[in-house]
Amino acid sequence: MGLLGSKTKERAAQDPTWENAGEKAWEKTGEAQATPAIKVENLTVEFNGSLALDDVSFEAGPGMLVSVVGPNGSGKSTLMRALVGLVAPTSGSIRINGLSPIKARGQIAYVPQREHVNWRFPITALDVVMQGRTRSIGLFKMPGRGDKEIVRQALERVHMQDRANALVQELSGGQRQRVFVARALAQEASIILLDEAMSGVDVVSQETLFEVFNELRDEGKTIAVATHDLAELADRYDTCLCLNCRMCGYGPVESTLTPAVLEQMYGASPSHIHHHVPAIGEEDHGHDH
Amino acid sequence: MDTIIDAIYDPFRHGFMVRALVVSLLVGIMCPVIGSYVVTRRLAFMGDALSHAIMPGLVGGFLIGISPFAGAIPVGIGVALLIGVVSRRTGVSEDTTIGIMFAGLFALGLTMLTKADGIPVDLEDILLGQVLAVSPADVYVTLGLAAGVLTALALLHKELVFASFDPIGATVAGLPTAALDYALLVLLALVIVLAVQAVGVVLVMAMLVTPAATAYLLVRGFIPMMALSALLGVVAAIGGLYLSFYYNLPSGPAMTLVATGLFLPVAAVRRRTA
Repeated sequence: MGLLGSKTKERAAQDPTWENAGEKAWEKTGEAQATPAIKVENLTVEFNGSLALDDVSFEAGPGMLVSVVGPNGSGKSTLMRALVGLVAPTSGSIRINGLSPIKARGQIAYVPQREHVNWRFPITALDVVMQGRTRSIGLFKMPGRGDKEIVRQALERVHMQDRANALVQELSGGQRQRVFVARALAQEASIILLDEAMSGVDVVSQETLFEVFNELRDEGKTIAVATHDLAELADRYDTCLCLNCRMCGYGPVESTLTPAVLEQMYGASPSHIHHHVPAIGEEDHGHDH
Repeated sequence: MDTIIDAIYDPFRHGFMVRALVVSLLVGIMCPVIGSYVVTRRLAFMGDALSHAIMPGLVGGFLIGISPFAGAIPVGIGVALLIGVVSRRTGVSEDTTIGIMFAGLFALGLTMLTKADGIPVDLEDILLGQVLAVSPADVYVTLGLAAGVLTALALLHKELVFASFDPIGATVAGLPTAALDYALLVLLALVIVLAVQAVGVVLVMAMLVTPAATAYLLVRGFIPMMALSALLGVVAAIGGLYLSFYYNLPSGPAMTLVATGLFLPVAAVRRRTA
């Protein structure tokens, strides 16, 4: 996928503390790349004097499916919130399609953590997806025929057309997540960020979501997913960004998620986690037969 | 039969009852419509605080000798904006900020009323509402306010719904969510100002949350919830008006009792999980 040249790939794998992997990669491979969808340089975020993110640098996209992994409190969510301008960098810079996060608003679709959504609010799946059109429709105006068609297609793409008139509060966790991804599709954003997207999402919904993510990546969109779930990481994502406040590694999943990187992220007992990864993969494999 | 019909129509031979009917209808519609946001966004405490905090404005309006609206409208808008600013700036939690403003301004209003000589209004009427006392001018102001608030709610509907359901997603999609929050609070303040004449400072809360909560238990979507809550609000307001007329009750408690009477049986049989 041309993310990293072979030399840089090796170097990123051998020395997981090596930062700016993405940035250097573009220089070395010499690919004629358009503006990166996401460009983060030396990003540091402090909350009340304690570091949430420490000197993080990477580039992503266009056309990438990135997982952002790390333990609780590793700054995954802070990074996501910084990318959309909800958290201001203490130092360093962020460029979204070459613009500041605030100026790039509308170009990113964001699926928030579930606890930030007001599930008490009675709203249908169809209306949630139509929210993706809000900015295109414009203030004081009603959705037009074109908007309705885009919303219908978005719902179909995540296989939720039959539940269009269900209230989202009545849907399962996985179905809710599919509706939010449909909203991102309706927004026609070039970048989609999902914060803790896969917790409590059923297998069928996960399959549907990754089908859509792969299509979007192939269309040149950039998708970043913050996740706890290390199982099947290599099957599902091109790239992983390993965080534990600092950036522990960035690059193709298999070469980046080494025992050394896992130890940096999860501390002294990475063997448990590392064994856990293929174990789940094998289980699934056996199930297919 | 005739006596029942007489009992229904008789009160409206009096001009004051026709005015009271118009104001009650508008309060019955407006409170639950904006109350649907109050219930789904957990703004009940904010609503209660706003209604108490406009007290200095009401008393000031009476003191200057013009309509109490003249004082209550700017004070209501001011307090709505101030609560937002103070909680954003100080880092004191929002409910604490609301509590401080609520108590402080209510105390100021009570003090003004106690010290004012020859003010043509009872404390009881301000606290509990006296819809039978509204003037023709009050009716026109109420109509204007109601029309303005309904228009604003209709124009901003899709934005307000987005920001209410998913404030972070709405911000990232490029909506001015802070401005929308302020707009909703200002509209809430205006509805409270128009409702105080009927239900009083203390019981505005009942008209804001009770019919909307009843409707929330009965229907699924947000627009149906607004529509049904308005219907329930009208029943409570008109029902309360009759009780007030025939039993010589303050209108606020009468309307509140009808609204609560509609809520309780529904709450006993309906349950909603989110």
